[in-house]
Amino acid sequence: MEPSLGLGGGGTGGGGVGEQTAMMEKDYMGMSKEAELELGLGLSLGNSGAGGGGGGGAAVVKGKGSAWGEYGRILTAKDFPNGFSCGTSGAANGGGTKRERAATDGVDEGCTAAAVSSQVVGWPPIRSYRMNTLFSQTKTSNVEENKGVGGNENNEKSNKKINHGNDKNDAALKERGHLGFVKVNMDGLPIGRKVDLNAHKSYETLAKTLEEMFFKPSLTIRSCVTYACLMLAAIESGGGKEQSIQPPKLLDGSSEFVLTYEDKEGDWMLVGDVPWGMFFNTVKRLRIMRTSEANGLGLLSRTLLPKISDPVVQIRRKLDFLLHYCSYHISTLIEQVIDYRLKYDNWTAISGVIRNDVLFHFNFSSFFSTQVCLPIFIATFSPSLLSSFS
Amino acid sequence: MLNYFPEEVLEHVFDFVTSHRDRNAVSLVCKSWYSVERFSREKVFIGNCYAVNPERVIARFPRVRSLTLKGKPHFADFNLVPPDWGGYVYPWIEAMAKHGINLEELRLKRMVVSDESLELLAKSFPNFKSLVLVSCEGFTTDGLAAIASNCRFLRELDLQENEVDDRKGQWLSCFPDSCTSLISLNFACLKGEVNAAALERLVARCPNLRSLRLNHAVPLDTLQKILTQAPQLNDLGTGSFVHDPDSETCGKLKNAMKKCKSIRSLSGFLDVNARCLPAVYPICTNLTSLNLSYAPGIYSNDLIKLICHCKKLERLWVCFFIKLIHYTYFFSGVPLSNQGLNWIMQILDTIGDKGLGAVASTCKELQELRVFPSDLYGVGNAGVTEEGLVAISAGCPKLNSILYFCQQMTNAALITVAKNCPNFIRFRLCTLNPTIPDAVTNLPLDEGFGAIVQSCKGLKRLSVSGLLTDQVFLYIGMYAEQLEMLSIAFAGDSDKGMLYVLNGCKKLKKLEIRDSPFGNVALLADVGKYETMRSLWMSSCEVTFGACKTLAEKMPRLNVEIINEGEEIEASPDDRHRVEKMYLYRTLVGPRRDAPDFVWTL
Repeated sequence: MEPSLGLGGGGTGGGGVGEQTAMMEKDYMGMSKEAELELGLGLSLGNSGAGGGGGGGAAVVKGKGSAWGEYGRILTAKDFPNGFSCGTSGAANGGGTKRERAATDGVDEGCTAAAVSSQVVGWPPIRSYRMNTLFSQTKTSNVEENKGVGGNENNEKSNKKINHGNDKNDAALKERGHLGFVKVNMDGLPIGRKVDLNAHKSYETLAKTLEEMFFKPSLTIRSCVTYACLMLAAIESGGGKEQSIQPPKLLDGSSEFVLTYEDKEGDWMLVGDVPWGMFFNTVKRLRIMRTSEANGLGLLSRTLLPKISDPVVQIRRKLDFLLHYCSYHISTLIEQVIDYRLKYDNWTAISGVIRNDVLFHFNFSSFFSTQVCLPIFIATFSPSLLSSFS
Repeated sequence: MLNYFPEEVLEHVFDFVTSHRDRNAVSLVCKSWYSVERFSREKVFIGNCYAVNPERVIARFPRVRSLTLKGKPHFADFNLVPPDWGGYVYPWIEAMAKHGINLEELRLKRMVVSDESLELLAKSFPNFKSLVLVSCEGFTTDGLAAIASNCRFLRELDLQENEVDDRKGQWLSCFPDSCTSLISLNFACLKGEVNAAALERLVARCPNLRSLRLNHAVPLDTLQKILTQAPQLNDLGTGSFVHDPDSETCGKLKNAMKKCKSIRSLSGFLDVNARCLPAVYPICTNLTSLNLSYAPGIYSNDLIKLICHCKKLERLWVCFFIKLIHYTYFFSGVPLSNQGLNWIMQILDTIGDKGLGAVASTCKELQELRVFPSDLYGVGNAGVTEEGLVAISAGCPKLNSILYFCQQMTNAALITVAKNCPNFIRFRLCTLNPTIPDAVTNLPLDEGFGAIVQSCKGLKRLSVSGLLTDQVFLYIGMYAEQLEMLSIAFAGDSDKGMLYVLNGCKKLKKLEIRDSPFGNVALLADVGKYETMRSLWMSSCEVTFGACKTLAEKMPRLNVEIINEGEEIEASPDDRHRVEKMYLYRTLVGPRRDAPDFVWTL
């Protein structure tokens, strides 16, 4: 059984792709659905069908309209206009009808419903009224709820306000005609932007706008590979159930950046805690902060979580450095990987040279020695090799 | 012998026959029964507004007083039907006005209702009493103002989950002072504000008010005043429930609630602080229906506390969701290891399932349960799993209707559920990942659903999800003898699946299929079947134009509609071309004339 990057499987023909693209809706965070990397859904949705065996191989990789459909593609630079376009394909979907599943489909469990459902129009089947009402609400976190999770009385409650206390605020908000433009600065960028809060009714749309403003393609490519490595990290340090991680988003913290705001009292707060109305009322300006600096704002102390294995953190930090250094060559790198794969049909290892002075060594054997086939492209960096860069 | 029965007697007897199905059966007995029945029928139910036209309905039932109409196909709820597809109520209202029908009640579902229709409605029927709109669209608060102003004997205005454009008028203030007949008022789906004072006065002058559902914008002190004025309420929708638990208003609210001894149904909580929930505990003891599905602010532990008070609950709608993992990940700033994620997931799964466990141990009278997800985009979306469902089935033997969104499912769980609850009439299971296999064995969920259909002999409605092969349809065809509505998505392997269903389910009325590999062979195998059904929806399947055309030719009393969106609006598509969306339904009146460009009736 060929290890699946799903290169073998995937779409039937070109016709399938077009329809599929049409079908995909933007996820409500603003990134196009195709942009989400996800583990394991052995699903080839819509028309393009899982069938189409290995024939797609050579034609598959380059360029967009691949026979493969959106769900099985390897990342290439061409896919990165705004977000990144990658997807899963059927795990070992080689051949057969779109409903065929290999035994190795265990990854299905690992896939979050979120990632899957966001890729399909009308799934899960929730009435659009309910969707609009519930999912356009702000994300509200609450001290009580965090308490509920870990039972950890040591949570830092002090910084957090109770969410729904202040209905007066909401009433006032409705009456005011608030001039909505606020400044937005991002760490590392000397020049800031302004965003009109009036144009938004929820955190999601705001985050989307900010992402579009600030996350340029090179950063996104970088984010993409970072994301891939994060997943690797999650898998390597664990065992058991794979979890998929959302691609970087300003609100959910999987990115290197965190969205914060300064309120009327001059305090810097994490965006997303209070209802939108309250936020709207009190925000003075926004800042996109590095996650590392924002940790002080966190509620859950690290002691609550299991100890993160060191090598993972190390890899990540080194990867950050590498990516910083050569982000715009990642696409070349990826193409090389793919070429190698096609040529040798062998996933054990591949080396690539980028910019003449940075050597990457991809070691896939640790993945594919497990019985789980990962249908997405994951890059990893061998620790021993990385040490030469530190 | 029956010929000697005077018609008056027959009519009197028929008065006791209320269900439309029974009336339809009665009318088929003989010509005289048909004749008596049609003149005495006051309530007409039309499950597909395009199956017949207003003129024919009026001609047959000249004394109709109550009309129920359904418009768009069910999958329109999930954005699978483009806007402007159809389902306009105006022609119906116009026709009834023209023929002098004494309309008193209009109940619409998934229809397009314009302000003009509402205005015409309000002005044409002096005895109009009841308007119920479910999942409709196309109107604004101006239309509601017309209803409020003109319907002097209005008893019921019930707006459920409609998309209403709020024009910031004062529609509620349009109820004249002379209006004292309101029994039921539900405007929970409206987004804008209403005049609080007008609302309070309206409630005060309607002593028969039994059901009141407020929207998000009604402030809490108004709710408190209303409850003080109307302690006779049976059904309350609180709107938002946000307040400072220590405030005076909250204290007054608690007292007011204690006096509302008749409330049996509670909903709302559109925005809620969990600390405020104890105010409703006094009502909980007698509650039979509780809808918390729009209350994402109630987290599982508080939910559990609330439910423990609700021992008489028969109907429960909740959402379980945990956004926490989202934030956990967020705050830590580094990626969680797998172990970390697993650990958190287990806790959260437990809370979700634990909540259901609380329901199972408290609500022994439970008949209907709906569990919605309320955050689809969080990392590691926990929520509920098969364990929660099993717990419910074990604890609530009277359960007959369930809608359950879950993270994962197993065959073993479904088999257990089938054994515990053989009384299901409606069983809808939705795995958030549409093709997820059994979480333990990795097998398809065929056996699980097979057990459900085998055990629940009265099953009328079924929605399946998860990894499913043709086998599950074999079971459905074999065992689901009473099945009337079946929803299929991402399931099956071949035409055989659909054929099993079409051949087996004799009482099937509505079949809706999406993203499944059923094609022409299945579609054309038994064309006569479709005249026994209300409708068939197939989207993203393997059906081609040619087959649809063939079907349309063979069956002139079916409307076979193809919905073409976007790209290929070709003049004459290739017969071999796959059809993206097909909706066919039986009809007495041929192709509809209000179809938009993108809908072709073959």
